[in-house]
Amino acid sequence: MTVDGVDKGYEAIIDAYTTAHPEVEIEFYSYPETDYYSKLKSALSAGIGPDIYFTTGWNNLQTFVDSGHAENLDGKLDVTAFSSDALEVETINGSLYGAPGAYAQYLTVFYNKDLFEQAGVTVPATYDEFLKACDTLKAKGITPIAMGGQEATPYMFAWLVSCQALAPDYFEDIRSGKVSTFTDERFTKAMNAMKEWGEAGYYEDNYDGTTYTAQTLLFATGNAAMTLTGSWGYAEVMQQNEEINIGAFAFPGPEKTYGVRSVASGLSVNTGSQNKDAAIDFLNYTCTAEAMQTMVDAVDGIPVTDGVTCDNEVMQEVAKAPDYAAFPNIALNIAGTNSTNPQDVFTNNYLDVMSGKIDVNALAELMDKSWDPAAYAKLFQK
Amino acid sequence: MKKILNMVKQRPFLFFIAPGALLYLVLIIYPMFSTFVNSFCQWDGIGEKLFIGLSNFKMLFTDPIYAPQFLNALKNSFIFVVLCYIIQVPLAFYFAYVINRKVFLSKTCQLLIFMPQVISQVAVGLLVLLFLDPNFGVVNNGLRAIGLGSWARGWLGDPVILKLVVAVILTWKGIGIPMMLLIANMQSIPAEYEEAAALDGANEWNKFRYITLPLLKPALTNIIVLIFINGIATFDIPYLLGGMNGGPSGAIDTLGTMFYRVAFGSKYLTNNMGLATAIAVIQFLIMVTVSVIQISLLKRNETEY
Repeated sequence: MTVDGVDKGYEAIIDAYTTAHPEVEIEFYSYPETDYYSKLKSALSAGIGPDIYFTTGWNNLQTFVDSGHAENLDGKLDVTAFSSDALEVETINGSLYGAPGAYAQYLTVFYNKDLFEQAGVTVPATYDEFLKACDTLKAKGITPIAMGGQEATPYMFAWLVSCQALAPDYFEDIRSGKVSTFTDERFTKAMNAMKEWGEAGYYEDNYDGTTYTAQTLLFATGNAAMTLTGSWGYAEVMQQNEEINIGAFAFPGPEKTYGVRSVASGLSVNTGSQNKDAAIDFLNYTCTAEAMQTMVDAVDGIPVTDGVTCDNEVMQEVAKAPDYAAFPNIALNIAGTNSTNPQDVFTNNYLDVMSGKIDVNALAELMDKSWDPAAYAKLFQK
Repeated sequence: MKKILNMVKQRPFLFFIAPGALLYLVLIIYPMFSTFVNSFCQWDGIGEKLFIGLSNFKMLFTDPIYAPQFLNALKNSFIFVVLCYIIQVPLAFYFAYVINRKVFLSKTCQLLIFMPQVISQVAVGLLVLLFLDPNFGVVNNGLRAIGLGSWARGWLGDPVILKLVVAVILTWKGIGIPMMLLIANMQSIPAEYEEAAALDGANEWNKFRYITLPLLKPALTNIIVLIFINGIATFDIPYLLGGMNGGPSGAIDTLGTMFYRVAFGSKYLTNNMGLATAIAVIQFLIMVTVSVIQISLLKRNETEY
């Protein structure tokens, strides 16, 4: 699995379930993300896989559906409480293959309230105001944006946070199938934004040598005013500095602010399991309000159904984003070719854009080569 | 059947090597064979395997997305090997010679020079990351403290500097074993040869060049092959310092990190095990070919005493 909170959440849910059903015994194993999928794949291919396993939905789940290791759960789970974008995550080829997650990940900008006050800056409502805010902060000697420029992942996060706002109609066109290329000017312009911020000096000095961990540390120690990341970043910042006074806002577009979110995924059942009924019963439990509240409390997450609440103030601010749409990268990483996908191509090559070795149009062309629009359309078929 | 039993009885060593041979077969030979077979298939790690012949190998050299990465990784692996040779071999000789002369504190020096070999690579990599961090690291803050703040930069973001840093760490880590090999061999050279040479009027340098060096050729062969094999397969340090993508502009992307990225690295599970095993097979072929060439060339020059 991933962050500590998720582990605690599942452990608490399992505790509650086994107390209510003493005849059931559930063993819980958790692995770091980098190892998890290789272990899972090897175990499933060898026939010794777990009864229940976690996936991040979308095409991760598709891999297991295609290889025949995910049980079809149509009609077996009570998912009436979930919205359609929650169910989308687990629906493959028109059928439900996993239990939706209890919380949503939002893309957001975390900002240091004290530093904003110090510079006399308010939360920007448009992209122009955002650029002006960065200029003001810079003039007052405060680093506007923390950026781990040594790795591509921070750029990827920053891009996911900003590109939907900067090119909203492009993403609508991609999703509806009107456009199927990345070389579209709206998209390349949005991709170039992070380079422009670097050239305008909005990042810290020597940002090309800063790692993602150092970026979080910079923000957490009050050395930078903003960091562009997702709701998962909250736990990372809190781990470094619990005292910090932060808030969150959705990245503002030129005219409209778009919230971007993706519902976290949940559990699926192994087709080779000997205990399918018990497994499905447990999955049903994870979809109840009680279990979801446990998970939301454990991860300080943002709930996706009624009846579940989140007390954390910062996360409430994160969730205030209007008109949310699914993560833009869903368009990008889903339905890659057999060997790669556009998001991985972006991650492997964006540092070259920053250093000037290639330009965003060349990157867009490479991304086109790694994408399969037909498979993407199939994934969104209901 | 009886004939075989008889043959085995007359060679009791077969019983002794059987358990080891079995383990070796299962844990090393079988996976190697399986890797070789996988390199001719299209496989994502869990689904079906589709036989596609040499397509994976072709893709590594011609595909617009993978070929540049692969050729870059190949180039970097060779660069690291060459840098290791240039720095490690002369240094190992120098250290071994000086320590063999039993100068003051030579045993302590021997220990200190060998120690990096046993320190965990991960610990070293993480420490270096901390040292070189532009905002919190010791190097930049130290430079600022002594007034050389203008020299402070994003060390980890500069491709050339990153390559040098990796080469230095690899050398620092790897110099222990070549040095120890040389010391052991030097100590087994009978002292009479050197004394005879000294009587004939040879100075230190001549003694080293005409007596010690030729007699060290077997050790030299071993060192050269070892450094190549370790260098071409290097993964830990480049992975720690540059991440899965090989650092800025793939500056420290090696065959090892590219293999990891293709086999396990996709966040969205579009992994291509077939392609990754093709990389591994090519790496293996390079190692075998070069090692065979090196050994055959160097064995010819060995001197017997």
